[in-house]
Amino acid sequence: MSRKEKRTTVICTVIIVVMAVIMIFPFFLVILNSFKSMNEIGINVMAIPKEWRIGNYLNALKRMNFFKSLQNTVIVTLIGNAGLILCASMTGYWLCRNRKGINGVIYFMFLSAMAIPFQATMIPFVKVMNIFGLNGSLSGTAIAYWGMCCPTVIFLTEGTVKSIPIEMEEAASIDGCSKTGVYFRVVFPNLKNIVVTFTIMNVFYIWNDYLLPFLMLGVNKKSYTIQIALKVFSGEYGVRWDYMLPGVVLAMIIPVIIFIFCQRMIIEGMVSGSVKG
Amino acid sequence: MRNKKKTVQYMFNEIIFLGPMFAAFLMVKFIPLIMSAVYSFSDWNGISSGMSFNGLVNYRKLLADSQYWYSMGFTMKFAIVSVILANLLGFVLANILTMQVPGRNILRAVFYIPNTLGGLVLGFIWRFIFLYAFGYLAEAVGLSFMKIAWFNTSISSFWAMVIVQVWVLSGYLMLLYIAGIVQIPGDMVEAARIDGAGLAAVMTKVKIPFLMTTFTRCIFLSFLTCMRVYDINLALTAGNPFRSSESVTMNIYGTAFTGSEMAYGCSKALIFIVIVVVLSSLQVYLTSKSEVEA
Repeated sequence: MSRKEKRTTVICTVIIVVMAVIMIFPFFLVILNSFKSMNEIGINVMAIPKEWRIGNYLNALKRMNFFKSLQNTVIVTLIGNAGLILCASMTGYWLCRNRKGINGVIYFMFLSAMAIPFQATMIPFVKVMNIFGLNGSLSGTAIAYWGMCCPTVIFLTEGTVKSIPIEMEEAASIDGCSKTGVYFRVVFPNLKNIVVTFTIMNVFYIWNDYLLPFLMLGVNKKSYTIQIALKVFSGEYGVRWDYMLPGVVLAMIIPVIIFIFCQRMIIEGMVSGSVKG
Repeated sequence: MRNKKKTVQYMFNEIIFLGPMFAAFLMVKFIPLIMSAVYSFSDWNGISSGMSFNGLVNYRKLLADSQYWYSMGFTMKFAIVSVILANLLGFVLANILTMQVPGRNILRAVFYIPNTLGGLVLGFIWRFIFLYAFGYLAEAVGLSFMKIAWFNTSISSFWAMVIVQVWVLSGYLMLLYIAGIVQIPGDMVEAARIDGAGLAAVMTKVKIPFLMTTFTRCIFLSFLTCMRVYDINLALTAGNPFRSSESVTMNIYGTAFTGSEMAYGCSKALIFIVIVVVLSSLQVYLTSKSEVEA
């Protein structure tokens, strides 16, 4: 590397590190202040807490009903993703191999649904969920996410299946395998990459969603998800930060941990272009 | 006889492969969409009985609803400003993080972290920062303009929202830009350098034309994300002061669920969708005209 290029690299490294520190500074402040009393926060927000009040966290855990909300969030995310991995990928495969007639229409319906944001449907959505009796239940919310996320999953799966040679499936068929057998034994093992990709996408989407779960579960305190539970701390007359900050940290821990474990996969997937946004 | 058996078999498979997801899809997206369109021409208030169609009444009401159009203008201004700033920042970050910078992978992960969190979490984090940290920093550094009460004026609330959205989006856009940058044929850049092109010329004449597809996609996705903002809005400003930082989604939610004007809410939602679709289609059309095939 020439001296000029080396100098540019050094300057850029400094710039980017400074920017990175600025980017995560909010997290640092939040964690630091989550251990202080409300008064202490007001006095000096940057100071290290005189005493590290673990009580703040115990309080937040109780008020958020954290472990119950966590359980609820996990259930919705799990059932949601199980359905999508199992059934939505099947749908994507089927629509790739069989596009004639009504399947073409169905595929088009799924595709155009990707353009429809939640706002367009959220009002009657509540009513429809009521009619089918899915309101207020965690599995009902998971089913709602099947409907919300399946267009993207179907689109991604269909694109991947296109590049799988059909000969393998035909060979299995000739040997007497049923269609579902062909799918699970021959095709599905080849979909591992895209399954991981969309599952990670969906896990974060479902975990971090507020409006849909609130509309479905808002009435029943026992079935709050973490995002809904967090809202509890923000009242009409301002926020008690010694309650809210520990709550925020608690809500942050799990997504960040998941991200740290999967970050290589996530980032490589996005950078290599396999996830088109 | 054989054909009949084959058809039955086929239908059976259709149901197994398509059934579950198509059913969920109909319930969650298709039927509500149709209902939304139909109910927007009625006076439905959420309870089916006692509903009558009243033509374009809701839409006429909508045209005169100043708060709705204010929210629309606010959300669009917010979207445009955020899209520009987030894309600029993301692009700069991507360029730096495709150079031989040490700790590149860790840094990419760091910038992406805000994206892994829920909108509510982000909004509350920044509400705290704006209320407490800025005042302190302003005193320490001596910049009096930072000492304002961020959520007391509509202008500062607007910029608070923009700052948070840019913070969240730039990491995500950065990754998309990195994906585009690594696809630029290295020999083109080499050839330009050898011919004596400076940094600026290499950027504008060689790199950017190859990145037009990426620009199109990034602007499209970020525009949609910004127009649909709700969680951050709710946690950060909750529409303060006096509904001057109310996004369209918040407006629709308030009309339909707090005000129980479901049918009116439906018409608001549909007009919103139409506007968003028209604007983003226009944007894609304009930017894809200058795309270059690699």
